[in-house]
Amino acid sequence: MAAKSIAFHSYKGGTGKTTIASNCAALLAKRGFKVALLDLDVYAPSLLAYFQRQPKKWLNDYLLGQAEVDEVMTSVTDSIQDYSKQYDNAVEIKGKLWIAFCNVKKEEVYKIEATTSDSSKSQLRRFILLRENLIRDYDLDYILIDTSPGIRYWSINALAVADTLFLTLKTGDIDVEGTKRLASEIYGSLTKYGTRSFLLFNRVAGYCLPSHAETSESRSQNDRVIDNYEIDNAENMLSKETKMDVISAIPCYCDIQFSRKEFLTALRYPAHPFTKQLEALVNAIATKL
Amino acid sequence: MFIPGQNQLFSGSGEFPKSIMLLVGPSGSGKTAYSIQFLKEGISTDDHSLYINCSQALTQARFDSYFPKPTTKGPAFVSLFSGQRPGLSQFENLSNLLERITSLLPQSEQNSESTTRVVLDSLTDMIARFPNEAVQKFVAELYDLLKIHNSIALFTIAGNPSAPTVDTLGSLVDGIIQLRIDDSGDEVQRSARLLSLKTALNTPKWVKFSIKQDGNLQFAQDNKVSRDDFVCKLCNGPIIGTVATAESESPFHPHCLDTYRKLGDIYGSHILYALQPGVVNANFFFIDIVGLSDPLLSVEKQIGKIEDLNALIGSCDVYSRVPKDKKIVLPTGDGMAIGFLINPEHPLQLSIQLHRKLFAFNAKATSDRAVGVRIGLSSGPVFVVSDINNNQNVWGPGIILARRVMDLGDNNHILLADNIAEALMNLKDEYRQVIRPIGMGYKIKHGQQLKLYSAYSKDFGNPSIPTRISELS
Repeated sequence: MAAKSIAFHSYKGGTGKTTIASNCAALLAKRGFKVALLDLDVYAPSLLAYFQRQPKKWLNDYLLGQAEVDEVMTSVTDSIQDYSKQYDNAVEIKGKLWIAFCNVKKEEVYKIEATTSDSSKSQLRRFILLRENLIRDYDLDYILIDTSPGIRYWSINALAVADTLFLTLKTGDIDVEGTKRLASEIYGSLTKYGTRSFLLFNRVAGYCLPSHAETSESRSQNDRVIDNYEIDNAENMLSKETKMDVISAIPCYCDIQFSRKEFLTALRYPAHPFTKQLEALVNAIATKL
Repeated sequence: MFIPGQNQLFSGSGEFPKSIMLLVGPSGSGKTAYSIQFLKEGISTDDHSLYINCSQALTQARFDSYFPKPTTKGPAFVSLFSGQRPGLSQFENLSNLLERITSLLPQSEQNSESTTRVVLDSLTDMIARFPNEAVQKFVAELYDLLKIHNSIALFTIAGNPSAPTVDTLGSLVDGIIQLRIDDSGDEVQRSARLLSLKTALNTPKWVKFSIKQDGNLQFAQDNKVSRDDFVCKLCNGPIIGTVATAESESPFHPHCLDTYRKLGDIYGSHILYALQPGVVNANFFFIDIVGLSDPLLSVEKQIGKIEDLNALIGSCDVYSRVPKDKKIVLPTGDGMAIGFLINPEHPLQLSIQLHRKLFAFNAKATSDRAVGVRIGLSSGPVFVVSDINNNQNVWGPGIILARRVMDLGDNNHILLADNIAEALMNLKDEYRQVIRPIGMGYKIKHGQQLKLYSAYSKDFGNPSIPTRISELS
C-alpha cells in the first residue's frame, strides 16, 4: 500500500490535535502498520511530552541541513511495547512507530521562524524531501503530521505535503467560524489538487463526564445546557457549509482534558471510552482513506 | 524497428504497429535529429523515404548532408515553399503540396511488404503560415494518403501534448512521441517517451537519449538506470519509478508535483520560482497610469486611481481564471507587471478586457477620477532574483522589454514588442485584424532595435501613432 500522509490541523490551538495524532499513531502501530509521526508544530512543539524521549537530533536540525533523516527519526516502538506489557496483556506490537521531534528551545524555534527567504525555501525543500525519503527508505504505511494551528508558514507547508487533512475543532463559535475561514481560504487550494479533508470534532460538549461516573444517557436532558440534537445539527451544518465530511466526533472527557500529565491514553487505558473513540477513528483511517 | 529507440520506448507486447505519429517537444529537444534518425534507419533497411520540409531555413543541400555518402537511396525531399503560387488560396497551396507528395510516394498498395517512411518537419512552421482549419484538413488528408501507401511517418510539432493545437492534431494520427530537454544542470539531458499509441497497449515511460557528434541518437539501454538519473525539481531527490512532469516539462516525484501545485496555489507563483530556480519564460503585461504623478492631483486621489485600476484588473475574467501558479504579479507603484506563464494570448486578452472596462468606468467617472493607462506587452525569459527585502522577484529580458515598450505609449495605447505580436498574429486570424505594425527598427534604450506593434479596434486601444514614435520619424 502506498504511504498515506495525514495532517492534523486546526484553526486555533487547544483542540486536541497533538493528543489525537499521537494516540492514533500509537494505535496504528499497535495494529501492525509502519507509521512516522512528524512534529510540525514548530512554534509550540509538544509531542515530546507524550513519548518522554531524547532524540539524537531534532527535526529542526534536519530542516536546517544539519542532520540526516535517520538521525532525526526516533523509533518509539519499544515504548509502545512497554505500554502493552504493563497495561494491555502484553499484546505484541507488530507495527513500527518513528517520531521526528521538534525542539522546544526558543532559540531553535527562532531559527526556523526567523529566517531569510532563501533559508525558508531551503527548509521547505528539505521537508518535502523528508517525505520522499520516508516513503522510500522506511516503507511506511502512514505519515502523521502534527501541525501548528492557523494559517502560518509551517502549517501551510505541512498541509501541502499531506494527502489527507483532519481539521480538528471544538463546537464553539470561534472554532466553527475559524474552520469556515480555513475551508474557504486554504483548503480549497489543496483539495482541488486531490487532498481529502475531513472535520474531526473533539471535546464535543454535552457528554462531559468522568469515564467512571454516571453515563450521559442517565443524566436528565433538562440538566444540560446543550442537547445532543443541537450539537448534531451544528456538526451537520458545518459539514454542509465546508463541504467536508465528519470523520469523527469525540466527546469531551474531563479526566483526560484536565489531567496533569500528558500520556498515551489509548495505550495506558485501553478500556477508556476515549480509547474506543480513537479506535473508531483509526478504523475510519484504515477503511475510508 | 519502426521508430528510433523502439525497444526502450515501447513497453507493449507484440509487434510495434506501422504508425503515423506526432513527434512533440520543445525547441532543442531533438525533434529534427530524431526524425533524421528515423529516416536513416529506413535507409538501412531499404525503405522508401520522403522528407517534407516546412522550414525556410533548411535547404535540400543542407538536408542531404545529414546522410552519409554514398547513399544508395537517400530520402526524397519536398518543400512547402517550392510549390506555393501567389494566386492560390491557402487551402489550395496545401492541396498542391499534397499532390507533390503523392507523386513522390511509391505506387505500392496497402499490405505490401515494402514500407515508406515519411517525415513532415514541422507542423509548427505550417501553423504559422496557414489557418488551423487548413492545417488540420491537410494532416487528415496526408494521414489517409500515407495509410494507403503503407507508410510510417513522423509529423513534428513544437510544444506540449496538452496544448490545444497539439492535442487536436494528435487525435488525427495514430499516436504521440514526446521529447523533452532539461538544461538546468551542467549537461543538457534529453529524453523521449511513447506517450500514446492507439493500436497497442503501452505504458509511457521516459527514456534518456543523447545526440552523438555524428548526429545519431543513442538511447539509454536500461530504463531503470535512465529514470533513476532524474532529479525532482521540488525536493531535489532522485526519482526512482514514475516520473511526473508539469507544464514546464521538469521532472517531479508524483507526490511532489501535487505539492508543488498546492504551494503555488496558496503562496502564488513566486515561491515556485524559488523552489524551482532558473529561467522562466513569461508573456508580460506591463501597465501604468498616465499622469499619476501630476502635482495637481492629491495623493489621496492618486491612491484612489491605483485602487480603481487594481480592482478593474482583478475583475477581468482573464486575470481571475489564470491560476496563481501560472502568473507572476509585481506591483510597480503606479501600475503593475503581470507575467503569464502559459499562453501568449493572455496579456493581449487582459489588455482588451481592461480597456473595455476602463471605458465604461471612465464614462461615469469625474475627470479627476478617470483612469488613463498605457500598456506594453512582450514575451521572454526572466530570472528569479531576491530583492533587498529578500522577497522573490523576477528580472530579465521579458519584463524589461515590456516596460520599454509601454514607455513609448500614450494614453490608451496597447503596444506590443515584435516577439509577442508576431506569435499572436501567427496564431489566429482575429489577432491579425487588430495588431498593426507602427514602427520598424525603432531604437530603444542601449541602442536595442525593436519592431513595434499596436493593438486597437473600435472599443480598445489607441489608433494614433505614439508621440515618441512620431517625433523620431
